Amino acid sequence: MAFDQTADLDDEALLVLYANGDPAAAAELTARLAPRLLAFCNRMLRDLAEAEDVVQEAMLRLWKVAPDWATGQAKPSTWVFRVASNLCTDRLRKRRGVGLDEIAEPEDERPGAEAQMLQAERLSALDAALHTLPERQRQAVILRHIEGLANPEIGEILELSVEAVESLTARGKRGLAAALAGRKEELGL
Amino acid sequence: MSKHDDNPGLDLYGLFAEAKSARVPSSERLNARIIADAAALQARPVATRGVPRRNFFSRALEGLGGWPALGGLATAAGAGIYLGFAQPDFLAGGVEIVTDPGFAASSFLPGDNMFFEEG
Repeated sequence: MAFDQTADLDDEALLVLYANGDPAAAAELTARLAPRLLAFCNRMLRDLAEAEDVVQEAMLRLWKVAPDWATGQAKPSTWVFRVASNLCTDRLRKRRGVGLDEIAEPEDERPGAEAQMLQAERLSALDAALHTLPERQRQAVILRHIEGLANPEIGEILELSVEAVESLTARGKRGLAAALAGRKEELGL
Repeated sequence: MSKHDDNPGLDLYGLFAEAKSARVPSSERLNARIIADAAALQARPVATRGVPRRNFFSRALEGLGGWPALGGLATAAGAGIYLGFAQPDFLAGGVEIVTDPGFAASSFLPGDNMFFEEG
C-alpha cells in the first residue's frame, strides 16, 4: 500500500498491514509513534541517546508481536508506551547502582546554560522538577499533561486504576509546584 | 474550578504546553533504525511460519477432491472387490453371456419379462 494511503488508517490497521508484509505501514507507524515515545523517554531518562535506544527497543517489540496481534485488545500506542515505560523504569533502576559522577549532569547546570533563552530555562527547570518526583508520579504527569493522554489510557500503560492515575497526577503537580516555587520570579512562571 | 486553582500563582499548565510544543523531534537516523528493524523482521518467512509443508499424500488427497471423494472411491473399490469374489448367479458363465446371441436384457429381470412379451 502506498505511504499516502496508509495515513487514513488507524494504528491497529497499520499493524495488521505490517504483519501482512506491507513496508509502508511500518514507516507510517514509526512516524506516528516514535516522536511521542522519544519525547516521553527523553523526559524520563534525560539522556537522548538512551531514550532513542529505548524507543527502538519498544518499537522492535511491537514489530515482533505484530503477527500475533489480537485486534480489539489495547491500542498499539498504549501497548508500546507501556513497554517503553517499563524499559525506562528498568534503566532508571540500573542507574541507581551507578555512581553520581557517572550520570550526565542536568542540562540546566551545564556551562553556558546562562546564555540559553528563557524558554529553554523554563523547560530545563521543568525537567529538573519532574526528576524530583517519584518515578510513577513523573510518568503519570508526563503522560497526562505533556503527552496529553487520557487517564484511562494512562491507567492501561501504568497498569493502574483511573483513580490511582488521578491521584498520582494530582500529587505530581503539587510536587512540581513545590519544586518550582523558589524559581517562580526567575523563570516568569 | 479552573485548572490553575490547584497550583495558585504558578502557571504549570502553561509550562506543560511549552514542553509539549518543544518536543524533541524524532531523528531521521532513529526512524531509519526502527524501520530497518521492521524490515528485517518482515523479511523472515512469516507467512509460512507455523504452516507445515504438505507431504505427497496431502497433495494427492487434495487432488482427488478431499476426504469425501476418497470415501466414495473406497466404497466403489470395496463394492468391486465384493463383486469379484461373490460372482452373482447370472455371471456364473463368466462374461461369455455378453456375446451369447440368446442373451437378452430380460435375463436379468425374469419377473419383468411380461413387458417384453406384451409390448
